Amino acid sequence: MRKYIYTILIASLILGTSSCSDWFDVSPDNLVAKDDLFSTNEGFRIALNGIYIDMSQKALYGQELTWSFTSFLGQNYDISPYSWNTLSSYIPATKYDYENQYLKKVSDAIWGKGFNAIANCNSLIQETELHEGSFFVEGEREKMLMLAEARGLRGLMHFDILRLFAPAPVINDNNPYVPYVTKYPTTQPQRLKTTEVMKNVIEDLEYAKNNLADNDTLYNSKMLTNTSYRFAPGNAGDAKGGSFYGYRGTRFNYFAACALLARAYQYIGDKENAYKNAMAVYRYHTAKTWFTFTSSSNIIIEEKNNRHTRLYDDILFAFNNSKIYTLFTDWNSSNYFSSRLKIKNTAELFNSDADDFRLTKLIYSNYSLKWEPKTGSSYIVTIEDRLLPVIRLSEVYYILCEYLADKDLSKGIQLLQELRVARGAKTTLDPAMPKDKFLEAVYNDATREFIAEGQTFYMYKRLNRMMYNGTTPIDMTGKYVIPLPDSERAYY
Amino acid sequence: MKKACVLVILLFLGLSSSVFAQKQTNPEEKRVTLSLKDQTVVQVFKAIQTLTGLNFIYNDKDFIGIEKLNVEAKNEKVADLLKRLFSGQPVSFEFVENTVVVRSRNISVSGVVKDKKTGEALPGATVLVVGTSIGTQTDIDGSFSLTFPRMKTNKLAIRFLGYAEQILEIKESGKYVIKLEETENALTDVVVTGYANINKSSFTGTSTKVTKEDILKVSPRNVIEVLQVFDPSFRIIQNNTMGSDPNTLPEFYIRGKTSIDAVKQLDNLTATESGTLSKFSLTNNPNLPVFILDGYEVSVQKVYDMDPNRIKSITILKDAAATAIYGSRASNGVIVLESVTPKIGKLMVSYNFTGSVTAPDLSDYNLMNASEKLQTEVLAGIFNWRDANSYDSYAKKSNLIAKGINTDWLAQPLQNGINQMHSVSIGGGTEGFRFGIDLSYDNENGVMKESYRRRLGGAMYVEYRVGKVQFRNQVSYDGTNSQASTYGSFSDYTSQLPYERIYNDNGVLLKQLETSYRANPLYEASLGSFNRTKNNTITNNFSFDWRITDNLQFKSQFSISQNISNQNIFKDPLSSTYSYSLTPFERGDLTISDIKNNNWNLNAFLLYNKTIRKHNINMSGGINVQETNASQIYSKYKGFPSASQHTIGFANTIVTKPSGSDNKTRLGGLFISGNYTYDNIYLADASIRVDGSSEFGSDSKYAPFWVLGLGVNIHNYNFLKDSEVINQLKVRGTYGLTGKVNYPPYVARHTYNIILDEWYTTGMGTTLNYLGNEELKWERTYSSNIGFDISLLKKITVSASYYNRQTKDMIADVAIPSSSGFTTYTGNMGEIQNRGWEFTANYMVLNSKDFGISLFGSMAHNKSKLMKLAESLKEYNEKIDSFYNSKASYDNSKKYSVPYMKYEEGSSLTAIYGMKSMGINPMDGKEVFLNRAGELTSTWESSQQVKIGDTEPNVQGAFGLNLRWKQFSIYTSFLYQIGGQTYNSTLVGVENADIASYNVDKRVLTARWKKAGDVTPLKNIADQKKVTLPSSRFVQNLNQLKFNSLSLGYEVNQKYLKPLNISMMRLQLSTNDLMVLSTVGQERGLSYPFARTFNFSINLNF
Repeated sequence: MRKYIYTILIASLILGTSSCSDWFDVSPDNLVAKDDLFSTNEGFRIALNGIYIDMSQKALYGQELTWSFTSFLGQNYDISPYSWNTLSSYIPATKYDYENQYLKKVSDAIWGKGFNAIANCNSLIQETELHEGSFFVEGEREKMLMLAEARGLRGLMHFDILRLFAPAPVINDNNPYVPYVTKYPTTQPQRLKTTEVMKNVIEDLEYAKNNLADNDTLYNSKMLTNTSYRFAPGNAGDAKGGSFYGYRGTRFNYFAACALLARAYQYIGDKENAYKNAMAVYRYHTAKTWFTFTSSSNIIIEEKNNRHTRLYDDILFAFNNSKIYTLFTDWNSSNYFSSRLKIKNTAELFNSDADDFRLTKLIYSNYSLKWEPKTGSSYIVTIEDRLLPVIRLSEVYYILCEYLADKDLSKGIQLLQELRVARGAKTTLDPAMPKDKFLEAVYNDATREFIAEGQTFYMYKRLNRMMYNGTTPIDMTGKYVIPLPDSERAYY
Repeated sequence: MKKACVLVILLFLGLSSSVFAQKQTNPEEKRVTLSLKDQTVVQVFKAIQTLTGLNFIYNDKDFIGIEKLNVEAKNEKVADLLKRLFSGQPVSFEFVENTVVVRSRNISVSGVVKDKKTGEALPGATVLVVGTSIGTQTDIDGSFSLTFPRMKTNKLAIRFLGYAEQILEIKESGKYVIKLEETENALTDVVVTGYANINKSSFTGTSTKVTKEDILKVSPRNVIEVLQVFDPSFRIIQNNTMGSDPNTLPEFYIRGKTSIDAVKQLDNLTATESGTLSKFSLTNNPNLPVFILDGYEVSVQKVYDMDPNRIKSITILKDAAATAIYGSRASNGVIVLESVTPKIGKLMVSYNFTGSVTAPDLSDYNLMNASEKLQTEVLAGIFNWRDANSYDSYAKKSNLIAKGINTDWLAQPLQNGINQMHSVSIGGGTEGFRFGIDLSYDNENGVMKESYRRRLGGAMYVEYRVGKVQFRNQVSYDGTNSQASTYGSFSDYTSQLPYERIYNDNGVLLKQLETSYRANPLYEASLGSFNRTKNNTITNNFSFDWRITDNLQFKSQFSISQNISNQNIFKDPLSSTYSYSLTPFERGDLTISDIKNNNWNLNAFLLYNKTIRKHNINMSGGINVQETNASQIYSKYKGFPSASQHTIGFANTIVTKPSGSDNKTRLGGLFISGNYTYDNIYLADASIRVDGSSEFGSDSKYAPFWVLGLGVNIHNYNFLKDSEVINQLKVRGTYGLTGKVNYPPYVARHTYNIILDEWYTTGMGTTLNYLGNEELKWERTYSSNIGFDISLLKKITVSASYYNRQTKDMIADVAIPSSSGFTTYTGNMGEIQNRGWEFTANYMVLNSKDFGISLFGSMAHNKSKLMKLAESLKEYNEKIDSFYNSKASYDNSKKYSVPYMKYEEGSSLTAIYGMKSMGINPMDGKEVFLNRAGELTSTWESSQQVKIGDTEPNVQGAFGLNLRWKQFSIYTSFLYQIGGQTYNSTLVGVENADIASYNVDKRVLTARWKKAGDVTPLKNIADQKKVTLPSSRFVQNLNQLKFNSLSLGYEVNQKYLKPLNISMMRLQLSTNDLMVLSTVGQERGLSYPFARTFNFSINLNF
């Protein structure tokens, strides 16, 4: 009898022990349990890549936050031939009819996917913090890079969601709009005031900047020294630590952090700090020529397929998606745009500058060539074709100019002139132009620069001005804030 | 022989002693003087005999062990002397006239208990001395030995589960061979829980048992549908769309729904429209009970395809006492199946054949013929006589009618299915070795042409018994080949215009119909398109049993099975559904989905059974571990040269590259369960099971489930023991906790998805797939059950139960703000209550050798109620509102005419929602509604929808008659339901009939409003095409009586069979679904018609 009691005891022990508890942890083939993913260094890298892939998708920088939704909000496209078209999600966007059911799906997706990317960042950040530097192949260096990039992306994503769904700081609205999520999982995020969100954005970006400086300006600086290192395959192998450290132009790098900080400080009206951070980038342009404006020879190429229409030499940070071509053609057909959308207000916009490349070379028969799929194009252009610019050197110029308008106007005019020349404008600015006129020139140039890149809307919103629309600006009262999507709203 | 003599004499003497005792001097008074030394007992007796003339009758064996005696007596009475000599010895004396009967005071009995029929020893049978608490159990060889003090009458009761109790009168010690006979209703006396067999009379739980004979009486084919005849709480949801399609598995539940459907109605619609419905969510019916076959879990499909001849019994376990041993899987009930095992004896071959004819049942269709239809069109004002085109159209139609065209479209895709089913089983063996082989083939043709389901099965069974150890192994294969009708959906035919021709004048199939210009469905059917599914399952089930002692047994079972299913859907490139603009490279589609399941299951447990005086304990305890691995691969190709070249190799393009999902789950449980009875009066059951599962959050991987049951067998109290009226009166009650797992795997864990279709510059990536809920708990159902069983006059038996099931921590999607990164996660939210009662009765009207009549009836009532709602359900209600609100006024899509169920607290899970209607205003023919505030309105608003009906009936059940006369038997069963409602979509179809384009129900003209003052149930004929939104006008009370089965059996007399070497031959004629009486006139079987089936079966045993 005793023998059998033992049998029962052993059986129950087997079931009760921790080894059995592990037995119930089952992992599927196409899914990876979080704990399994983060059990190897490779898992961390894959998780970080995943965030970049997510943010390069259609709902975010792959389409909506670059050449689609935000560009419509910025009145970049001429939808007049299609105004009857009720099936398109985007025509209501040009009318700021945010409650339109089709448009709602778009804004809902931006919000949802954006916060999903943030959840991914948070999960990665938390897991990284749990490990000693020695866990990672490249040691502490890799740990810091992981944290800095993830926090940088988290800041960027929150910042852009805030710029869409909350009023600009200049409005001084003290109501909470957008949460700042820093923990995974968070099932009931708290919405914060714009100032609080911006504080968090800046904190994350500052963290990224401080922790990327060493890698991007010293240790692995080669990977940022020129366009070819930043974007092209083939050179990534030169990176210390392997190709994961390459392609820095498509990764959240030190200069992205500086430039985005400049943008963030400018957004809250802190011109001083905006200038400081912009200068950090500007110096690498002037003193080290890491970033240059795309040379005219690459823009004036007759064959459109080989033209550098995305002007990628001065991109500080771009997402990367090899399927932009498909997204673009789907976008065209699914919205029933029988032909490509024309760029709006070009005549007024380029009024005095008939030679501006942005008009003559980047726009062809009134539509933008920036996103036009290029067939049979040169090697370089195929690389450019995958890039989704987040911030450029040109914006750094505008930030500097806005600061200099108060402090050193002539230096500002000089900077703007420099930029205009790079973009092919032949007329020279009056070096003695007054501040107001200068600022108008800056905004005008930025509007040209931002065509089909999604930044126009943000600029006019920041300034709380009427939306640029050629000769008939649009009164934006009550139109700058996109209402929270239903998937969020239902809970408050 | 000597013993027998003694016995006879004793009997004779016993009777006559009193008669003679008075007449003569008492022999006990005789005195002796005696002095003996070292004499045996027999020598002493002989000495007394010589002295007194008294005779001694004795059995020498009784004196074994009594030492030699020294006797000293001086004129002592013989009686006193004997008493003195044998004091303390197990011997007694009786004086009968001049004879002294010497008897042992104890009786020692030994013997063997065997099965009367097979001669097999029966281990574990209980042998009890009647009137005492002395008893024992037979050992592995069926043998026992018992010693007990002699009483006035000595009776042994021999009991064994499933056998008739035998009472044996014992006069003397000795060896007996006791042969027990299997009781007729032996199987129903035992509750098979899958882990133990419990005597029904001592069980406090509720279960229903159905034997093979029962199944075959009702239907020789469909095992699942049979169950609703025997258990009123087993409810099959009538599938009004798929009718009698042999390839559609029935959907059913026991004692009410405990869960919200995994894919809710509206989500299903949107997912179907966008093609994003995952296969998993469809196969995951959260209300489905668990099926256990010979110890391991099997799919519904396996049971659906099972040959009833291979089933020994089916037990439906309903309350917690019956199911708790299944712990986390038990909430929806457990259905335990036992398969037939071969019997000992010479080789036995049995063969069963069932041939059947199924004929479509179109009695619910009430469509117009060609001339009626054209007339209706004229009356409806379809033709504008001043318009040339319109006139042409009329002329064309009437010309066709003049030609005699009146196409019976309904008949086109239909056939009378002729089916055959064969099964052979061979088996036999000895006590030590047994084997069996089963083979079965079943070809079931549906009533739609070219639709079929073919089943092929085989199994091999081997059993070894060495001493106390027994090994069994069964290998089985089941294959199913099925095809959906190439004729498409039946609704494609019901709507066709009767004046359309199928063939042109030359007898060639028309590609396009002549007046409607629609594709000819018969042309499509003539092409090479198909939808076929192959399903193969191989199972090996090994078990090892060890009878450690007479009371303790070890049982173990290990099964491993693999199921591979492959579905191919191909569309012929010639199909006219392809648009003209497609190039040949884009015509022809092939969709392949492969599903592979690998499972294993291990059970190991100890059984302990002991009777100590009046206490009887029956316990089991052990482990159960199982793992399932499911993988799906799905791929899609297009561009095929022709129908005959339909394999992947011929495809021009890969549309969806093979991609799939994998899913692995593990479950482990530790259980202990016991049944205790005291004096067969007081009963108790208790079980506890602790389960662990891979599907749960890391914070709650384990959960305990338990039950407690109590009962009293009032009929075993002394005052009722010999009652002629009340044979049984049992009161029982149970309360327990069971659980359920019913949601997609991995929702408890944070998982990442590997992104396969896009890499970043720096490599592959992953993204969060699901916000896991590590705190996710098992769904818990607290159920209480009280009931009684009565048996009266040995003729009437009645059982009734009342239950209350409270499902807590219901698993539901919890909606969360999307700033969390996700919109839902799975949480424990909501509560459902199911309360109801069930009642079954049997009445044996007559039971003689040649003639028997019995009646049976059952009734059940269930009411489900949503007690607490999850936020996501409230949100879902809003989704329904916005679904209707976004409907464009010109959009008359049929999807808006279907009532979508809303979820409200206090409402049921089977409610029908719509707007309360006051009927059609006779003034303008428009519908008048009542809103939630009770005001009249003419606008339909989704938010004003209320519960307008409930599809769950008030009561449902079955009744029938069983008649036996000599070798003949008749069995009938009826199913009924009363008090439910249904949404009559046929009538909605009549109201929204598109008279111009389709054939319509005959009511279309008569019941419509045409002019002011018309009082009609249907709205203005001018609004005919305008879709009718859910309205209480179409809710009708559904009371239904279904003649479910009728069978006539004949068992051929043995004397005719002997010469043919046949031991048994039975013939049976039966029919299913002969007739339906219903208060609702509604088209049934929209995509696939219902059918009536006639079966003929022969059972032969050699």
